[in-house]
Formats: sequence, structure tokens, C-alpha cells
Amino acid sequence: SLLGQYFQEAQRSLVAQRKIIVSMQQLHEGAVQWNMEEQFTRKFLLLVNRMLTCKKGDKSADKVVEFIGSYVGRLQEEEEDRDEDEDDEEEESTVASRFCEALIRHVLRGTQAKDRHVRFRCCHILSTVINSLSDIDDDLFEDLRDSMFARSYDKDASTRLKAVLALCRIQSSAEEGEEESAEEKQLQELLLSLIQNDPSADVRRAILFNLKVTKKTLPYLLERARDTNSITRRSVYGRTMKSIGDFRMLRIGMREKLLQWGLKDRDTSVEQAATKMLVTQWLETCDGSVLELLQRLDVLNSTVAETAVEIIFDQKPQMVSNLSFKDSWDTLTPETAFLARVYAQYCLKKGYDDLVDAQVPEVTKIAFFIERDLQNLTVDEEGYSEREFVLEQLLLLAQQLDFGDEIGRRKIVDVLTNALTNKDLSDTLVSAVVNVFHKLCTRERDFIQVLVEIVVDIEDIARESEDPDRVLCTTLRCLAITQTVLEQVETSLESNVELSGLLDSLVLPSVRSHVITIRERGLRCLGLLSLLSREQASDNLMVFGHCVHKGEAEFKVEALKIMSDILVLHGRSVLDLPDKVDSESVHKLYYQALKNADIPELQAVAAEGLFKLLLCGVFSNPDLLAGILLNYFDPQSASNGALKQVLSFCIPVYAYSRDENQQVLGSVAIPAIDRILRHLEDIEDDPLTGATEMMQQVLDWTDPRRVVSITNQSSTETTSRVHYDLAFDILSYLSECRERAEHRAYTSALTKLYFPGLTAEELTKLKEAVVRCHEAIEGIDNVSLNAFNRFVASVENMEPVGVVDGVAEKE
Amino acid sequence: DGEEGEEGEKADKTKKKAAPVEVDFISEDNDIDEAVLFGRPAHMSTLSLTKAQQRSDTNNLLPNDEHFSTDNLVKLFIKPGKRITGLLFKHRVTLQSEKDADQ
Repeated sequence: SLLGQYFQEAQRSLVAQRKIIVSMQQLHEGAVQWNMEEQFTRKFLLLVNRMLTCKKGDKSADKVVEFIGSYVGRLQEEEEDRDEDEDDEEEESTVASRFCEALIRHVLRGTQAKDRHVRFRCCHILSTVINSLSDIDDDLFEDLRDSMFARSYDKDASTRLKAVLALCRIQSSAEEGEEESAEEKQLQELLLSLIQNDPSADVRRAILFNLKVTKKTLPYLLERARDTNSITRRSVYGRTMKSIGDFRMLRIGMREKLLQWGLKDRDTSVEQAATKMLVTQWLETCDGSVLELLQRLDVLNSTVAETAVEIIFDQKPQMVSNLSFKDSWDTLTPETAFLARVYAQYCLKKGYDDLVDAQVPEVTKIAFFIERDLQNLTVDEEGYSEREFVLEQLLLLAQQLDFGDEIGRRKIVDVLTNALTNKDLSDTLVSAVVNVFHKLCTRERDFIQVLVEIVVDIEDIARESEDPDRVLCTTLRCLAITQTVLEQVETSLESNVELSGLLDSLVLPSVRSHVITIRERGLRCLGLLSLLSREQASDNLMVFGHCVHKGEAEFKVEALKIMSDILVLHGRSVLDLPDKVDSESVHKLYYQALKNADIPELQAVAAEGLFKLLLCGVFSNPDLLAGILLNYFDPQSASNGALKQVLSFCIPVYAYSRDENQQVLGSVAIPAIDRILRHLEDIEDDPLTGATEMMQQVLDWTDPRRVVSITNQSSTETTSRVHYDLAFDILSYLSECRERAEHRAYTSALTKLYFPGLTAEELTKLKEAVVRCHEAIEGIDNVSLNAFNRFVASVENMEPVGVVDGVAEKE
Repeated sequence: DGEEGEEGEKADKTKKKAAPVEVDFISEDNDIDEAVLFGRPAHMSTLSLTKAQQRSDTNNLLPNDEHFSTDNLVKLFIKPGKRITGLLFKHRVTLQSEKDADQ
């Protein structure tokens, strides 16, 4: 038949379809004239049936769908032309409307078919024609819409994709601010829900590309910048942001977030897309001015502005050479000060010293600016934060510069000494000032001396005041200075008598203060001092331990950090001394902290601290490893993102750094898994689903071939017995468990173990264990039994290696 | 408007083979049985995602990235400027000498 031929050719070439459509239309019109309209339609639909079982990706079928869509579109065009000509207001049905209705009714029958390909193709057709259906019956359109709603929850992702596309195409075309109908609102709600919840990244991305951009939908679209799928994330920075056009349509907080997420994304393609967006779109919107771009961000609080500016500098070296700060220095704004500082930093890093010389004033001038701005700095006055920020930038800038000029040096020392002693500076400024001193003083002794003098002066002045608030303020400031100083000091406490003086006069009393903020800072300073002295460390460990055990949440965290640093730096020399803290108690402390789900930050610090100590050998107790594994596998800890990330990173680092570490891990792993499974059985409905994954992770961590070798031994020749030892544990638990999930997990693991050449004695032991297990296994399913038998067979086939003079040798 | 965009599919292996499979629209009496084609399942619910599958606890978003790296492991908590060199081996020496002392 002719129609058949049209379809046959249409599936081959899109280009050929144009002519075919014209012919087919003539055939259609002829059929109408000869009262054979229904036969035409019937034949058409029978042909459509033939491609409904074609699966996704079938190019011929795809072309046929295009063909159908084009034909419907053509019919509609003709109708519109005719309406224009005749000015016909009557609501008669037309050829186009009758045909479309028949097509829709027919295809809708397939949207609930058992065969997913049929559902897919039907949705495919419907989504292709849905825009061209102006004249069909309202009820039918309603049915179509309902069907697409339902298919957007179809089990088959490809089907959902087409349904969602169809829905996107019937979104409201109302302008922003115009009232939307209830149906339109319902549609939007559905699309917003799907873009967040659909399990398929392709579906979520399709909505991302086709959802109308409005004030309401914008956050949902931009949120996809953190979608689990990297292509979707990348698309936000490319396609979505491009279609939005002007980044100034976003709130400042959103701009910051997008940069933060994108510029630091772990996937390079996303990072590149974000960089491109920043440098080609955002910068261009600001006419190429970095300064204007900064004004569109929140430099005072930004965590990403510095990175962004450096990236722009990297991409636009011409701009770096051409930037001029000539007139900015007299009236610095937060943005100009920030840009100047980052610019100087960048040029110095790259070795563009001539640029720095040209654009940045000399130290004397900078000192003058700092002095002037300090004088104008009054707390609680409007614009304080901005002025403080500018000062901070100047101080950071000063830290980078050369103080060769003696007059400049003198000037700046005077200005800063005066500021520290007499002005009530914030912590940020105190820290910045002290760091400039650190740069100024060539010898650490001088640095310490100068600053301790300042602290003493401050205390003297405060003593003369009767005002307790004044005293409080100055104590806090002295502690801030002391803290920054200690953060920089490298030499021991014993060689710095001034610091010992501070310890007694300032730090120890602060630790005992009834004012919380003073206690906090005092604790930090005590910790820093303990890093400089083994004696102080071992003396004070009790205090810190007590804080972790009994203190408020913030103190627990702080004290645990301090303890970790002390132990990493001083090692076990500070433990187990007479009348001092013992290792056992410290283990318990960490263990408790790791389990403390009420304070997520504490858990993360405990995990990080523990691994540092395990890696450097200060701790080696296997129970600690067992506790870590229990924590890692416990679904409860999934809610602590930071903890999960620390553990996911550190466990393999620990395991692969040394054979012994793997052995410790291996020795506690299976009992830990068993314990978790028993725990899950009590609390969950479907408890054992994760058993195989857990075993797989343990196998990976204990794989002897993955240990980083420090000798020249190639990893494939390792003689490590980790998996061999593991086999005994697995066999033991396998023989006792009764759940299918456990049988599966254990037997599957057995087949994946790696054995080096084993001695005859080792092989015998293994075979005996296998036999014992075989006798004791109960209720095992076929899949597991097959795996087990494969393992048994492979053990039977192993050749023992001989041992000559203590060296294993193949026989 | 656009469709799915890139899908990251594997390279099209059929490029080297013959032309794509064609649907047969020509032969007469080859029409499909619509009862089978449009046949429904016993339970309509089997066509849809389960309630659990329809929801994502995380909205399909990545968690906040803490950017944890070996950098964290070689720095101190309260004195970030100080790097611990030889973290993996420093106290190993201590351990070894302690072992010797024990024997």
C-alpha cells in the first residue's frame, strides 16, 4: 500500500520526509473527498502499531516518530491557514482535529501496556505531537495530560523521560506576574517535585533544560549544581546559566554558592564549566571589570572571591598587566582593597615584581594608610565592618611586602604597637597585626619579646582601670595576641622565658576563669603552649582529657583537637608517666567521642585525630580499629557527612600504607561486620541488604596487592597473609549464620580472596577449616553453595610452596 | 527547545555494521494483534515506581564537600601552619626502639 511505502521510506531519512508528507497529505485529502477518511486513519494507525515495540535507541523508530510529529504539525499549519482565510468561527471538527483525536485515542491505549517499549514509544509520540494539538476535544486533552502525569512515575526511565518532556511542553505560557490556573500550578508542582526526586539523572536533566525559568523555579534549577550526576551539574553552569543570561538576576547568596560549588567541584568538567561561566559570562556582563564583578559578590563574607579572582587572572594575563590602582589608594573600598591585596599576592607568587613595584605603594605609604584607617575606626559606627575589612586587607598586604627600608619599618612598628596596645581591635585585626610583626622580626626571639612587652603594657594599663568590662576586654585581647604569637612560634617553651611568664600570668588564670569566652581562649593558648613543651603537655593532658569527658560541647571539641595535636607531636612520651594520663584512658576518650552522635563535629574530630595517631604509630590498639569500622558501617553515622568523608578517606589510606595496618584491620573486620548485622536486625525491617557491600569494602581494604610498597617488592609478589587469615574468620561465621544475605556475602567474599603461595602446613590448616565449615553449614541457598564449592575446588587445586632456610620457594 | 542533551552513552558500535534495522511497513497481513500490543498487566501498580523509589532523601544532591585530603592528615588542628613531616614513619622508629627495649 502507498501509506506503507511512505512509512517505509520515512524511517530512512529525515530529509526525505518533507516530500513524503506532502504526498501523504494529498492522499489524505483524497481519502476525505472519497469518503474514505476513516480507512486512511485506520491504516495509518495500523502502521504506527508496527513500530510501537521498538526499543529506545532504535533510529528507524525515532525517525518514524519525527515523521508522525511533522505530519500532525503540517495538518495544524494548514488548519490555521484555512482559518485565517475563511474567518470561520464555527466549532466544527476538521480533518486535522479528527485525525489528531483518533491518533491520541489510539496511542493512549498503549500508555498502560505491560510492554515497556510500547509505553515508551507511545509517550514518545505523544510528547512529539502535544504542541501541535490546538483543536482537540478538551476532555481528550485532559486524558492526555492525566496520562502523562501518570507516566512520569513509570518504572521505566525512558518512558518517564518522554512523559516529562510532554509535560514541559504544555507548561503555562503566562508571563511572570500573571495569574496561573490551578492546573498550571499543579503541573509546575509536579515538575518541581520530579526534578528533585526522580531517580534517573536523564529525567532530572530533561526538566532542568525545559522548565520555565521564574522566580519560583529558579532555586530548583540552580540547586542542580549539586546534583549527584556530573553532566547535570555541568549543564547548570553552561546551558542553564546561559539561558538565564544576566547573573545579576540571582541573589548574591546564590551567586556565591554557585561559584563555591562549581570552582571547587571534584569533577574537572564541572569545574571547567564553572570557570568558563565566570570568565566569559559573568565577567563580560561586568564589561570585563573584575572590580565590578567583586561588587556583585559579598567580599566581606565570601569564601570563594579570592579563588575566583585568581582564576580570572590565570585566564586573562593581559588584564593583570593592565590593571591600575593608581587613584584607588586614597579612598579604598572593601572591593578595591581586596582586589589590590589579591593582585599583589598573585603577582608576587608569579614573580611579576615589576608590576607590584608599579602598582603598590611603598611600605611607608601603606603604614600611613593603616595608621589613618586605624584612627578612623570606631566600633559600633555605621560602616564599621567595611572599614575593618579594608584594614585587614591592608595588613594582609603589608605581610607580603619587603621591609628593607628602615624608615618604613620603624613607622609600621610604631603604628602597629600603638594600635595593639591602645585600640580595641577585633580578633581578625589582632591576628593580622601580629602576623605583620612576625614578618617584620627576623628572629623569633625578637618577635616574642616585642609582643610579650605589648601584652604586659596592655595589662598594666588595664590594672589601672576599675571597670570590669575594660578588664574583660583587655584580657580577651591579650589572649588573642598570645594565641596568634603561639601559632607562629617554633622554638621550645623552655628557651623562651617570656612565654613562660605569660603562661603563669595570663594563660593559667584564664583557664580557671568563670567567664566562658576567657576560658575558651585560655584553653586554646594552653594547648598551643603544650605543643612547645613536652613537660607542659604531659602535665596538662589531664586538664584536656577532663574537658573532653565533662566539658560543654565546644570545649569537648576544642580539647580533643588539642589532645590530638599533642599526641601527634610529642608521641607516646607524654603518656603512661607516673601520676599522669594513661593510654587506656585516652583510647576510651576517643572511642566515646567517636560514638557521640549528639555532637557531630566531635565525631569527625575524633575520627581525624584517631587516624593521625594510628598512622604515626602512637596508637595501635585493634579495638580502636574495630570501633572505627562499627562506626563506619552503622547507618546512623550516614547522617554525619563530615564523619563519613573522613572515614571513607582515612580507612584506605591507613590500610594501604603498611602491611601491618592491613593485618590489624583484617583481624577485626569480620567480627565487626557480624556485630553490625546483629545490630541492624534489631532495628530495621530489611536489615541485611548491605552485607555484601560491606564485605566487598573489607576485601578491598585488606587486599594485599594494594599496599603501597616501600621496598622494591612488586605488588603482585606480595607474600602477605591478610586474606589467608581473613578466610578463617569468614569460614567460621559462614558456618554459623542462617540468613541468605549473610551466606551470599560470605561465600562471594571467599571466591575473591587473594592467596600468595602457601606452605603445606598453611594449606592443610585451611583445608581443615573448610571441612569444618562445610559440615556445619545449614540452610544455604544454591547460589551461595555454588560459590562455596568454587572456593573449595580452588583450595583443593592449590600447590603448596616449599620452605627452604626460611624462604618460601615453589617446589 | 532541547531534549535530553548529552547522555554519556557508549560509542555507537553499530556504526561499522550495516544500516540500522528497519521496521517492516510493507508486507500486508503483518498487522500486530492489538490485544497483545496494548495488553495490560494484572496489577497496574507494577508499571510505576514504588513510593520509596519516588522519593529521594537527599533530593539527589551531593553532600557538602569537606574537601578532606592528605593535607588534613599532615597538619595540626590548632596550629595549621605546622606540617608534620614523615607522619607515616616518625614514630615507627620509636616503636621499633621500644620493642628492642622490651626484649
